[in-house]
Amino acid sequence: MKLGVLFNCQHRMLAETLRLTIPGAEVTDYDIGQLRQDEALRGPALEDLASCDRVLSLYLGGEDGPLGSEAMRETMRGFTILPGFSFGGFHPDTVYIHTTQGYLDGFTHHYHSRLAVAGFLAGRTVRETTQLYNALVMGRAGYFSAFAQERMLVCQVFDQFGIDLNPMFDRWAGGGCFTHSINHPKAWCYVDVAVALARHAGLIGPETTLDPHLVSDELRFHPTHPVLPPLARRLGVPAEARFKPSRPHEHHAVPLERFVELEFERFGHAERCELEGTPGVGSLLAVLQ
Amino acid sequence: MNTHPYRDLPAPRFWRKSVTGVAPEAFDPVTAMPFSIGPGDRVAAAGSCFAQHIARNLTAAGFDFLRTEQVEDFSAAFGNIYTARQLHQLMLRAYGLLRPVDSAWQLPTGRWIDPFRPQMLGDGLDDADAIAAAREPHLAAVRTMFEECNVFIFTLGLTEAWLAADGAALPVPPGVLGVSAGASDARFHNFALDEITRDLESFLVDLVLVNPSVRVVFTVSPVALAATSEDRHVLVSNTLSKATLRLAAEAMRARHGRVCYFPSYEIVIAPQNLALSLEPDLRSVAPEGVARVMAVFNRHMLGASTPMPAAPAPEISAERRAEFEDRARIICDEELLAP
Repeated sequence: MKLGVLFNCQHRMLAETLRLTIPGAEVTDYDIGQLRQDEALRGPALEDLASCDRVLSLYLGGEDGPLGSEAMRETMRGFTILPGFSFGGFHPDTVYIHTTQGYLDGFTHHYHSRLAVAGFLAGRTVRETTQLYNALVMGRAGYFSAFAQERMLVCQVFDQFGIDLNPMFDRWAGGGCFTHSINHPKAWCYVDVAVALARHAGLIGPETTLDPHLVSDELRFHPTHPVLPPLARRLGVPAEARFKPSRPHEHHAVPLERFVELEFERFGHAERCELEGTPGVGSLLAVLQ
Repeated sequence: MNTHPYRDLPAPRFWRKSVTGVAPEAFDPVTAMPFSIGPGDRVAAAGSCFAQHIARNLTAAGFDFLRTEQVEDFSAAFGNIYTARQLHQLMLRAYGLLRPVDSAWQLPTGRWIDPFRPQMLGDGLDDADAIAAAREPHLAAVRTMFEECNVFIFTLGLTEAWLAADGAALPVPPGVLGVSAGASDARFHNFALDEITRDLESFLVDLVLVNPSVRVVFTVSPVALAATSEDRHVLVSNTLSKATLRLAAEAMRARHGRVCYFPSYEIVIAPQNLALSLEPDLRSVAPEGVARVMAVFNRHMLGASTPMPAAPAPEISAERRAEFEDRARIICDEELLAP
């Protein structure tokens, strides 16, 4: 059986899980982000996917043209829509900044710190802003309730597909932080999700399981923000202190104060109104006043 | 037939049975406390000067009195905290949410002190920068205290206060210390009940944010006002002040299951205690009075630790849902960065 996967950055881990759990399966996988940006890749990818017996995809709207789920449903065999996994419970400060040219780029690629944005807009110095990464500010900003809220939200998404993530959350809780970032689960966590997705698609039976350590953690080389110490204490996971850029610069991770300094330098070249429009920043500015 | 509504009430409900003729050492106005403090609980205390007695008592009784700085009678080196506003502002300063204009005061000696803890740095430091530098580890210790205590005891001291130009509540006005530089124009303010309850409410909300399992004991200082800035007799001001603070503490107790009120004030001013409880100045509390308060405190408050029940799961805010849904639509392109 040939399987096609059209997914977000989780595509490789999903494909690897399918290869390891379905004997004899040939799995071909594509990253939606790459296909959106690279027109030359798109045609051959669609041809390849059309040759599959089953295609598993995230839902994409009509604006994605031939990649859109309605178009794919017409042209692909066994087309099945599956949910992506997104969880911001460990990283509630991480945020994307929308600009007219796309997402604002920075030291950790598209990830920015909401507190850094608020500190910058409030006219605080780098040092003063660094001091805002504390329990009261995070509490007022709702960071401590993020884990429970994000859990409910992602569970609601998977519930719509008949997949109960709650037992997995209970299991993951014993292993510490299970995400690299807001949309990058660690492999040992995502394998559980991928197995559930394969089961939901009818590709494996309920008895099939997979040792999570057999799947390579493809997302570990991407940018990460730490689990900030006040939140780590609250969640009972080890605190981290460094902000890590993408490969090949991952060895140049920086501590909080340097990261805020780099953020301020970047924000200095951004449009103020775009920074002000960052989700949650308005509430944070109210906290700082 | 209507029954007598007081017939079956317990003895403490009757003045004749629980006050009249009760020996000073047997007087005990505490009927029930919602929680007790266990030997493993870390207890922090702050407030007016009477709070220092609580610190000494807890230490003497072998309880874990939380000290996050090397000071004798306080959990951190903040000195006396007389008003609810001062308490909440201490918290806001500790977490970077309040940056008062008055940063350092210069004394007639040329030395500099911290306006918010004027007696905690000896005879002062060399310059204003030294005061600012000393403040950072101090405020870090205050944060540790708020976050790591299991029980926080606050003794409400005054309603009358002096506020700096930006509204920062000062423990003493600069004029009392003869401050020659660094002070803004301080103004007198007598906090009304609604202001005090608002300040205590805000403080509790913030305290629970940084320490969700904390329990809080409020008490009112039995030490009388040394002076009043209101145009009336100091005794009249004192009565109003204590009544207002008592009402504010009661409002907090009634609203919050994690809060209790301990009647230090009532024990000292009980008719059978009064003569022995006060110093000859009829203001300060004598060692016998402190001992009586602490005996009742130990009897009712010290025992097995009472844990706070788990908080209910938070509701999903509209802002969180919108951000989650927005993020779920994002297809990140970090793949392109990684060769």
